[in-house]
Amino acid sequence: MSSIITSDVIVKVAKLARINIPTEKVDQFASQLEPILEHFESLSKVDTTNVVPTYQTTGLNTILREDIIDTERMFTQSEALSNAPQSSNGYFVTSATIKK
Amino acid sequence: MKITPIIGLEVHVELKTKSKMFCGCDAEHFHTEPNTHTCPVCLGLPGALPVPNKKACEWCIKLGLALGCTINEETFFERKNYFYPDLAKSYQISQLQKPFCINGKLEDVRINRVHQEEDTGKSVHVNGETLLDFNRSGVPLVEIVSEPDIKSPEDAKTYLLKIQQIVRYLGISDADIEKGSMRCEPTINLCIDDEFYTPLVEIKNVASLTGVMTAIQYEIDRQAEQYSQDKITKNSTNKTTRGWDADKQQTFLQREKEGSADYRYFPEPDIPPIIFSKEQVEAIRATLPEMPEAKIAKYKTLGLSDYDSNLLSEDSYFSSIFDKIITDSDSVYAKFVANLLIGPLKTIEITIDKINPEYFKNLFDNKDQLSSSAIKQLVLESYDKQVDPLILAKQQNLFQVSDTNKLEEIAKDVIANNPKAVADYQKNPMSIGFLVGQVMKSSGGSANPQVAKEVLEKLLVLN
Ligand SMILES: [Zn+2]
Repeated sequence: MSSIITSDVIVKVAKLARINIPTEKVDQFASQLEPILEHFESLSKVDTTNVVPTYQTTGLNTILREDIIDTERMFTQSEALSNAPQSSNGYFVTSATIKK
Repeated sequence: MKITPIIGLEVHVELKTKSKMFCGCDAEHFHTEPNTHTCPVCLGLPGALPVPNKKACEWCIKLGLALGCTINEETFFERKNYFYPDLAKSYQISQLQKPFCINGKLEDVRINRVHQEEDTGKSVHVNGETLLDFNRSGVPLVEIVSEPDIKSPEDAKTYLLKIQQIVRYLGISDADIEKGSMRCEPTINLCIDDEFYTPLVEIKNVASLTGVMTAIQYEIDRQAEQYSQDKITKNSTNKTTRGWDADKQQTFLQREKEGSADYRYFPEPDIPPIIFSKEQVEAIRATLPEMPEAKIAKYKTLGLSDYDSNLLSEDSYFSSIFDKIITDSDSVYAKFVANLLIGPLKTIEITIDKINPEYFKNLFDNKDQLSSSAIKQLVLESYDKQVDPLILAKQQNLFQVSDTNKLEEIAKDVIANNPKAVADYQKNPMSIGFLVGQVMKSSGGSANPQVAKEVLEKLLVLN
């Protein structure tokens, strides 16, 4: 299989996944990702001409709920924030997402 | 250089269901304590299972039907993946390949699709930190995507107001742009000299109707200027996203637009496909109210002006009040009632159940014996007290005397008792007001002032 994982692809995927990859590691990841993809590539050898795409395995359809408020499942504010690394006045806190 | 703007609008409308889109949390998020309406589903905790809100799906289909769309019988949800702190799951559940509704039309604007998705949380940016409230996370949103058929900022405004009106008629959202329950993202480029196309620009963060118009106009001018400098034309990779800065009244370049492939859409494995049969869709269609266009046409046939017809049909509740009062096709009566509704009754909150059509008919039949201010007063008072206006008019002595014989007697007395005013009148006919006032006073306010004036003029000429 030809090399489809170029360093550009690694940079792009890293950007989409918000993973910081140091420049010097890009080539290393490219060479590692290649055989993994090759492995999955073998799946494309299977003839799927008459196979309907499987989005679902349950065979169910139209599982809907009525528009009713279910307070049983709702968290209190402190429960909601209990796993947050940082919170303040009832809010989750994260580092700034926009620069002004 | 000939410039033709090409504008498409993506409009998001927040549905006013009681609960959220995929969980049973209270969907209210205005003026609520932060993070008090959340659960494992809308906080994106591992293992939580989303279950779609049936009412939201029906409302999405209802809106699609009102916009003339075809309804896909079988649909499914998909995951739209991107990272942002207000998106707890790191994906938004939306629809791409099979939205509920496709191929609609609103007047001259083709609608590409009307699909169902969910809102994100709210971020507040303070002191170098971002505060997050997930009460809005998972609130049902409907997105209406138009084809790029809009040609000017004014047309964009008209389109938005129509969407807003339809959504409100259907009673599925407040569609309040300032409050954010209706949001709009225009995509704009220009056709230059019928031949060249400038790169696409999507504008974000426009939070008012005026903002939409100003931002579009700014972008039209900016692109024209840009093109005259660099001659760069549209291609498949140079679409950009620009934010709208309301303070500076200008757009600024945001991140490069991630193409739809970069969102890595894929079918939501946790939600089985959804089937709405033709019968179910027809049952939803049957719940559509009479829409504004139909109302306007109906009012015009009644002989009302464009202005009145538009005002009456602006709001569906308001027009249903008019419809309740008007039971025949008498255009004079229709105009009379329209004036009362658009006039005095517009100033108060009206409950349709308290509207008694008979009261309006009685006022109309006696309008010649009542002054216009008395009619205004009576329509309000009869509504307020739930009493026939004619009874109130009698109690308050509001019926005007238009009987000329009776008024002549009073006028003769007034003339005899006010020689100075009569002399004034002979010099200056404009001063008749004083004498009319005297007749009104002698009649205990019951004289019809117009008739009183005519009687006086006749008597004074005879003098
Ligand atoms: Zn929830």
